[in-house]
Amino acid sequence: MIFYNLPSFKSNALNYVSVEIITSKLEEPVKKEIIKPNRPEIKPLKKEIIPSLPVDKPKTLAIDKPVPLPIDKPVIKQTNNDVSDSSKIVPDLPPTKPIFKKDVFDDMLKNLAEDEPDLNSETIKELKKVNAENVTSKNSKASISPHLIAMKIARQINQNWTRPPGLKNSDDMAVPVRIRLRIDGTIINIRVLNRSSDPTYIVYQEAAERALNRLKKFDGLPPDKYSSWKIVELNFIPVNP
Amino acid sequence: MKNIRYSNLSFFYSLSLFLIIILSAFQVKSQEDGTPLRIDITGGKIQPMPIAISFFSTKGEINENIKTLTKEIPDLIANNLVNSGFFKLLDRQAYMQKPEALVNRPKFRDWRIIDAQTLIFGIISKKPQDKISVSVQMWDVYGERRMLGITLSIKARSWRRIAHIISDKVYERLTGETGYFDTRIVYVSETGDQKNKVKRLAIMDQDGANHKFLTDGKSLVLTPRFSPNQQLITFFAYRNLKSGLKPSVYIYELSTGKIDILGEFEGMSFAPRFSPDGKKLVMSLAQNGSTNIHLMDLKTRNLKQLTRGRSIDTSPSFSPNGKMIVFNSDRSGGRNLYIMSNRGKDLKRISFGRGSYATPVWSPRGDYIAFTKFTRGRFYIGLMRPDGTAERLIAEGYLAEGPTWAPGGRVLSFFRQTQKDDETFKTRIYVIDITGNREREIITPEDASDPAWSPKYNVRNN
Repeated sequence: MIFYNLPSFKSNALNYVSVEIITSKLEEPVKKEIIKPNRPEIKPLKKEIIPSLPVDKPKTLAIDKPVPLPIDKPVIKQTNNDVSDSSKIVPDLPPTKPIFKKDVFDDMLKNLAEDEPDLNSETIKELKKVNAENVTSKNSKASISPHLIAMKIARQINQNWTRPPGLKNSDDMAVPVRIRLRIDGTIINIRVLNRSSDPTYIVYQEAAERALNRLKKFDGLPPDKYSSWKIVELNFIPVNP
Repeated sequence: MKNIRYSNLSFFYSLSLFLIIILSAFQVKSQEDGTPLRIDITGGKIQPMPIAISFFSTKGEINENIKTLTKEIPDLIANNLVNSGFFKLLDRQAYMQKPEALVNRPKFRDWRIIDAQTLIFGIISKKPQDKISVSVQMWDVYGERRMLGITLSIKARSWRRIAHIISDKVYERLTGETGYFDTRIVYVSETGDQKNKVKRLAIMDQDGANHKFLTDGKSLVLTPRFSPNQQLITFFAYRNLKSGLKPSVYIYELSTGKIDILGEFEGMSFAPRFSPDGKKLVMSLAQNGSTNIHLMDLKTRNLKQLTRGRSIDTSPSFSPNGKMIVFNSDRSGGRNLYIMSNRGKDLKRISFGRGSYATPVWSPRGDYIAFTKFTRGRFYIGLMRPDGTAERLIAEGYLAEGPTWAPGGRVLSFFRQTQKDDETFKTRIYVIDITGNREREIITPEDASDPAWSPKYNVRNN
């Protein structure tokens, strides 16, 4: 018995079906652009700002790569500065795994091999203590200061900013956006300052725009400081937790 | 797990606020210069994207079949997307706009109420020769603009293919990654008891539909492997010659049915794997007591030996750029994973955990190597970075083996044997995503092993 002609393969058995794409209109041009011509008052600013974005490292305020936070040095931790919303700031720390660079979604990953390392309760207690100290010291000079405004803005955006789990590596996926606000906090202009044809970047860019479109209006911004938050430049950095 | 994730985020969120405070002096100063407030947003939530997929509507003459498809096509698209782990389907009962009303521009306010970020709907119409035409639109609900518009036509009975292609387009547009829905899985179907095992090659859609047997079971077929860019598989089968059973490697072109015998390789126990360009095969051959990795040029059929020595080197797999090869070797005692260049240079061990490692497969995205691991009496499917870090076991079983990647490197398939009762076992194919959270069985008529995931089909663009 020789199997040289391997048993009865039939090409038509596969029933290969061809599909025709009759039209494939992708990306209809943006219909309703939210961007309106710049009002005169921001024109002088424009010249100064644009060249410095988005790779303006020294001015960025938050961390890019918070990878291995040494847990035994409780220097960096959350400061509960915003008294009005202390519930937001939860004094728990992430389990750190300094061995490798984490994914955006590593903490959703299943791993049958090992348990997530836990922080011992003493460290946590200590951290809480330091936190409390920080809170009181900061509270003493708490007024509606620019950093408090920044916090209010960041918090409201964060509540609306979602992105799907397991996206491709998010290096260089920061999306700089400039927004203009009305005195009641309504976002009247959204402008993405860096565009790219990278499909992953587009996903992040749309997530940033969606967060702002969803938010629509900021609450609790002090009208008397309007000149300081009339225009805000945001940098959406998909931090790898 | 979820809680950890969120607390993590809130931590970094708070951390960023802390840094904002630290740097605020600088910031205030810059404001005096007239610079606007600058804020880094580093928090946010990582969660499946809520999407609305409306039932489709129809245009022109319709029949019962098309009426059913207005539900079946969107259901299949929804099923595909939800299974990827990226999306959450919003309950259709909450949709305020009916499919017929969507034909004109959607009323975005109605969709924002249920927090749909994206809205998908379509129109089906009848075409001559039993064909249907399906037009699909995808809208950004908050941005109020169209993200995708596509019209496809196909024989009505092949409607599943249209649903898969649409799923791919939507997935690619919303995630920036390669879709994998319009693909198939070839595997080895097994029937009979241990003594009279019948092994047939079978093929099905990635969701288990359209199942077909490719061989009649008279020969012993093993380990099918897909070419990364053509509808071409290699597999391994025993030819029964006068001199005894001889293992041979075949190449089978799925679209034409053409079979080619590549050669007889004594001492080969697994089918070769293709290089990413589909022009070469990498394989392990046993000669004179040692097993080494070889590279074969498909055109010239020349063989080049890549590893040397007395160790047993098996299961080679190319990196997606074709520059590296990962394989499994016992050169340092236990079975471990190694990488080397495509010329057999720069050898480096990458697995250091407990247990033995086998069948490494490099992800098409390049960021992971999937493998089988045997430790403490059980089998696992695991992932690690190509440098050997971040090892993670995502599935386990009494016997679990043979990972194969879907295009895009987001999900993979493997097979697992489970015990039904004292005497009988069942072997089935499973699909799982790289987070390890969405495992599901692909329904097959018989026992199923050795899955091989196809590349995407080419779609004709007119």
